[in-house]
Amino acid sequence: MDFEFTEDEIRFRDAVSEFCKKYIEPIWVEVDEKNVIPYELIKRMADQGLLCIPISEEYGGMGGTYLMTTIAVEEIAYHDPAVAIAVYALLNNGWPLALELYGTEEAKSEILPKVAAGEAFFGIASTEPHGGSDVAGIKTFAEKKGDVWIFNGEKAFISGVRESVELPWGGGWFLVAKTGSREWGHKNITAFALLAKKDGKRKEGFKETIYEEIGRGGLSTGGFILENYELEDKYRIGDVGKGFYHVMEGFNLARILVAAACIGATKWALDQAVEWLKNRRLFGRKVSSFQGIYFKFAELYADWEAARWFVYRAAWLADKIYLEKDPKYNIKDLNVPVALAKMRAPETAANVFEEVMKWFGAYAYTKECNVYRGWLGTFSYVIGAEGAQNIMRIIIARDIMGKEALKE
Amino acid sequence: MKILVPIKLTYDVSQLKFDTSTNTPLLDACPKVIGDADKCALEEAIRLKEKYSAEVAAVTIGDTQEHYRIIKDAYAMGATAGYVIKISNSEELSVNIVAELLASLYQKTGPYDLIILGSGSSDTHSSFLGALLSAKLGLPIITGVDKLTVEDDKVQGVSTMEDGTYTFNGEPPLIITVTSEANEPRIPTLRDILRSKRMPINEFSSEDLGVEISKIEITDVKRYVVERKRIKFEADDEEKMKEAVEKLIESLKKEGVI
Amino acid sequence: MKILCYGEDISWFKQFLTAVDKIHGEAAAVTTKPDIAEEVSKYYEKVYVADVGIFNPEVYGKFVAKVADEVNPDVFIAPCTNKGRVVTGMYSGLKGTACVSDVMDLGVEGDTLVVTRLVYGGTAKATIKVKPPVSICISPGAFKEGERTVSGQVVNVDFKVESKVKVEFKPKEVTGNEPDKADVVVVAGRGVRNKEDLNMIMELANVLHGAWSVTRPLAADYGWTDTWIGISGLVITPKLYIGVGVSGQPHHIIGARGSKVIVAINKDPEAPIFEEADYGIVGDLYKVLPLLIKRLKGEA
Repeated sequence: MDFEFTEDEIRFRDAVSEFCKKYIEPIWVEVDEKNVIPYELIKRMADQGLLCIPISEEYGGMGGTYLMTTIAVEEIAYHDPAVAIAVYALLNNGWPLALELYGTEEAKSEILPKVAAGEAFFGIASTEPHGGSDVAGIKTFAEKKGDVWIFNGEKAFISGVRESVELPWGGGWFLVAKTGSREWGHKNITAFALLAKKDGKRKEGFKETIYEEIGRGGLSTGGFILENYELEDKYRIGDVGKGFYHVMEGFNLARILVAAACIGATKWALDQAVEWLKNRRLFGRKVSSFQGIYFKFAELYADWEAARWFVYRAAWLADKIYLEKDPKYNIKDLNVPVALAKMRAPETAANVFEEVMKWFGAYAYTKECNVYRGWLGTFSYVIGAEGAQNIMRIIIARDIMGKEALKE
Repeated sequence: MKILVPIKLTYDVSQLKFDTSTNTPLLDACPKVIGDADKCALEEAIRLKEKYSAEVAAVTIGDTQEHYRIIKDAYAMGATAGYVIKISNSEELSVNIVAELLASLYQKTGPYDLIILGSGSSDTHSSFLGALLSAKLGLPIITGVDKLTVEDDKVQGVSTMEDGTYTFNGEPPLIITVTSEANEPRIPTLRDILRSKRMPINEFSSEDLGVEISKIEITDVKRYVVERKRIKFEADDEEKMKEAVEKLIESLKKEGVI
Repeated sequence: MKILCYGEDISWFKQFLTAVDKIHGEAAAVTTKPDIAEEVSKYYEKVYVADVGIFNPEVYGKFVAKVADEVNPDVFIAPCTNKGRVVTGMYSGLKGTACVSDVMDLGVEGDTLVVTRLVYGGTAKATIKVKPPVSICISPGAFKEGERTVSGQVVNVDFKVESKVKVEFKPKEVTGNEPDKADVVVVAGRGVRNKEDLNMIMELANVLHGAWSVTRPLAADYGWTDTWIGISGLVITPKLYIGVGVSGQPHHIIGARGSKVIVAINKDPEAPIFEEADYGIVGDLYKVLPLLIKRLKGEA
């Protein structure tokens, strides 16, 4: 067992950190305040090779490991605790990989290089107005007519709606829709690379709304209505009827990075707290010298480090399965490790940010203090973005206690 | 075009701590990095590689894993050759020996059109090395360059010093020392880092270079703190602030400086 | 010991007198500035000079080496300035001497020179024993200006060397703000958040009839001004240095350490600068500075 990062992983982390200190740290507050990531930054991240890290070089990616990808997301989030920039990066790393795994050659060669170049967005569109967790219950329906699929339906709480429409080439999402029958079920769902805008031109039948959210404002969240929207079969991802399984795999991959973002932001909060507590004096002594304070700090630090190891273990396993194709492991082995990471990381973030704000006191209630931005940003994942917290609990319990134990 | 870029692994002095009882530096715990000026030197060379398909050789002196790492990092930035002059405890070498070693390597692996190096290292910043090389190799030199322009065979370096701006014009073969203000060194991408792993690093010993090593006798390295009064006035509220300002002005008058 | 001192400035030549005294040497001077040769001959028996034109490392190095051929010094002394270091490096390479920079003190033990120098970015001092011939660069302010009265001789050296490098010089614009010459210098650090806030710094400098400058990040990274105080910028030795929002990183401190009195204003009580300061105010510079300026104006 080796808990050390390799020399190359350390070198990569140092390079990403240098990039973030230069280009992200000076602007993260403004990004959060103005609710927009400057396109210049997206282009820079693309040129630096921070998007599509695990994608093959053949499609414009870096051909890197998932562990390297996780390192990059953690570092970006450390320098952007409001996490909008980190989430832009993680979505455009995780979901393109899902596309590479199951998409057609044409779709991959068309879309992936654009995402890697920062000219297109590629995220996930699964949630609908009536529900997110119950993926088997989605209502958006795609009907095949010749070589084309016709979509009707609505998606809600989708990241990157504005970006997909504003980036030069465009972009879209790994989208799941019912095909064949509309009934609740796992076997009548198909995955697609659905594009809002392609090659600089908006697609017909796509109508979006952007929401005003309480946090992580740099990356847009919105919904869209599909009305007789047409998509060629080459954009179908994987076999018909296999969409549910493919999207679950995609979620496993994305959730590792989501947890990494929460971990990065949390470390920022912990570091801010140490500086604050050491320099603040009350009752004639350093606030950090009170046991009530430093005992709590130790506990929160332990929670952070534990969640961090969950993240890296899951990333390591993802590489064993997808990169090394080690026969000892199969795709389902990722379920629990990922659920552990995605359960713990956002909840740890919430606990840490809450406590850190209490340590800062009234100052934390001001916008100038900035700590609240990380609290709100990471809280989106507690609320359930990229997977509800209780779904993580179902995954863990079902696996460890056994399916039977969960049946009434 | 062929360029030699000597780079040094230096202590990150902003992180250097001292033993509180003996005041000796805790060097083992201090992180080591390539200095900013050295990075700028590499960046200038790589830009010339991109413009003129130049070959860029990076060289460092030392034998630790970190020394090999900075050569890999130089490859990641775009260097085309990497050398390590394998000498233990290389930080103890006098700058004269460093110059001799590099001069010998220059002869053995050359001919080079340019030697580009940082104008001063981040830890000692003596700025002697470039000049020593110039004297030893009989090559012209332009120093302290903030802005380097190379147009075919014409090299122009602008250097800002205490009294004004110097514009040097020369031609290869030439030694150029650049400051940490010369450019924005590129940050290697993951692909660059992964590729650099496979690049060959050629080693030379002091015997290979025909240089006899002698080390400088350094004794008594102690934290340098100028004796200061270290009087602090708390000013975290308005009352205290007014008082602090009063006391400061009074003290400065007493010192005779205002 | 026989010593050859190189400089372009009377003040340095006077500082060298003290250094020379410490090692019981007899010194000759060499300069590339004909204007000061006469003045220098009041302090040194022999002053070698030639008009070798604008600073060109090769030319200056070969010139001092040629003078050394005649003087045969055991020790070559130069200022630890950008030019001084380069000239020393050239000299050492041409004459095959050892060289040491950032020298703070000198001593002699028999035939060995005992040199105290700064190391690790100025955070530590080390003692080195070195046998002549050796060249040393002396840190600004390490030695006080000495006094001496002699009727020295100016020796005009016939020196011409063609260098492949051509140099053009544009003198620094005289703005009235000269941190390296002023008695009082106010320096802004990263605690100063906006470029407009430099006006407060300038106001304080004005009230104290001094100059102002910044730490490296404000110039090199933010581009608020051209020069800065630090190891890669200006090294100053004013009577009073006031660091406003300066944390006190080694590379900056080394540029200001020679100041007679150091004052720091910073809201972080753990800022390293307080260790290097005589007086410190731990408080928000945005509140302290206006108060300080007002009080000083009131006095004026």
